[in-house]
Amino acid sequence: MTTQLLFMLILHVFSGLIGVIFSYATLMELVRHNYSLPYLRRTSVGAVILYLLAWLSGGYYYVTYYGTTVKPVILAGAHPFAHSFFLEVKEHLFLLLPFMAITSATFFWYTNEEGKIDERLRGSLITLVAMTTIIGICIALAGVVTSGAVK
Amino acid sequence: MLLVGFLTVIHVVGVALGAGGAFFAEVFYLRAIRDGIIDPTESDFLKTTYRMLRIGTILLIITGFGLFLYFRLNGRSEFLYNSRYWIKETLLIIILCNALLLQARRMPVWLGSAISLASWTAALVVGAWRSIPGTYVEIMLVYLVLVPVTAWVLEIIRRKMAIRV
Amino acid sequence: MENNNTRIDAARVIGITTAAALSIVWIAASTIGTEVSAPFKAFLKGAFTHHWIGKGGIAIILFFVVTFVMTLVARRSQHTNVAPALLFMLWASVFASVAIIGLYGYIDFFK
Repeated sequence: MTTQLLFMLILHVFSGLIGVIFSYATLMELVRHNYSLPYLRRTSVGAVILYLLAWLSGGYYYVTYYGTTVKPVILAGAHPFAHSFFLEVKEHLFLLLPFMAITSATFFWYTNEEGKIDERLRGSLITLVAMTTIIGICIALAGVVTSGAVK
Repeated sequence: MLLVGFLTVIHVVGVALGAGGAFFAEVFYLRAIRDGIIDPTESDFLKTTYRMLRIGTILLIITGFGLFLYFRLNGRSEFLYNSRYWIKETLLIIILCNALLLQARRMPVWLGSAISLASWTAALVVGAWRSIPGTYVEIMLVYLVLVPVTAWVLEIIRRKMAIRV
Repeated sequence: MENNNTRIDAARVIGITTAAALSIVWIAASTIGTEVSAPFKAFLKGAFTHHWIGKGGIAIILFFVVTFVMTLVARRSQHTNVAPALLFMLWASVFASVAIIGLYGYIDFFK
């Protein structure tokens, strides 16, 4: 593996992971009665940026290296499902995250006259951010399963 | 090796802050509500403790993934299928869900406290006891017993302190 | 000190949310499409060098185009109710997630 690919893999793992942490932080703040809108805006935008970074770095690694070098090793190994299920789900499910994160971030700039989120929308937003976090966690764990099958 | 050592040390610091934070949060909370009111000073102590708990959790998550990435890149990816690792992941997810439900006031405090303390204790034991016997299912069953035991112990403490939660 | 009253208008929210939802629908549909139709997969590969780049690339293009169009439509019709767009987004996310997991679960464990 070249230094560039190594860098991309490390960047992919940590930007995705910290993106999920930001999504969780957004969720934790959103469920509070006296939430801080500036905090929500910072964490939600942070999540968007990090998911985009994870997308680009992971995509580069996947397209230029994983398919030809890593995938055959997994498929020939003891846990082929790590690629055929976990990685396939991960590579497609991940594509949802940036769009979900952009949507929730957008709504934190859509406030009423008192500078607060419309209470009628807050429930749906909590659901959206919760789904983003859950999918992010599942994707992170799927990455562990995939990596563990590389021998 | 230096990198593994560094990641491990920070990981242990994270666990110390997280588990220590959870225990002290409970201690400060019980002391604070003894008179039925949480005054500003008590609230400050609790906020600081929760902040340290969060910092510890973030440190252990990041270094935990750092360690798994290190193992992956150095041909030791079999560690990623280790049952101890997945037990700690499960406990971490339980801790995070519990924290969220407590924050959203959807979890009664008596139960949330028990889950928090039991989960951090279990994670600490599984992390420190490298040769712990038992499969994933067996150890998680022990954990499921630990939760009501912890709740019972906390209830005894609250009764002795004459606290209603 | 950040001003909480910095806000964007409803039309833009509707545009962005609808675009994100449709992009997610495309991702799910194209994922299923490449598994059931080899010519479709070959088309994406031919046009974008890799089918996964094609799915993501078209999703991004779709996002920007629909954002622009829907924002314009919402502004012209003076539509201010953002709730339907958010609900659409939620349901699209649920169905797309279930579809993707279900698809590969079926292929891997039942086929």
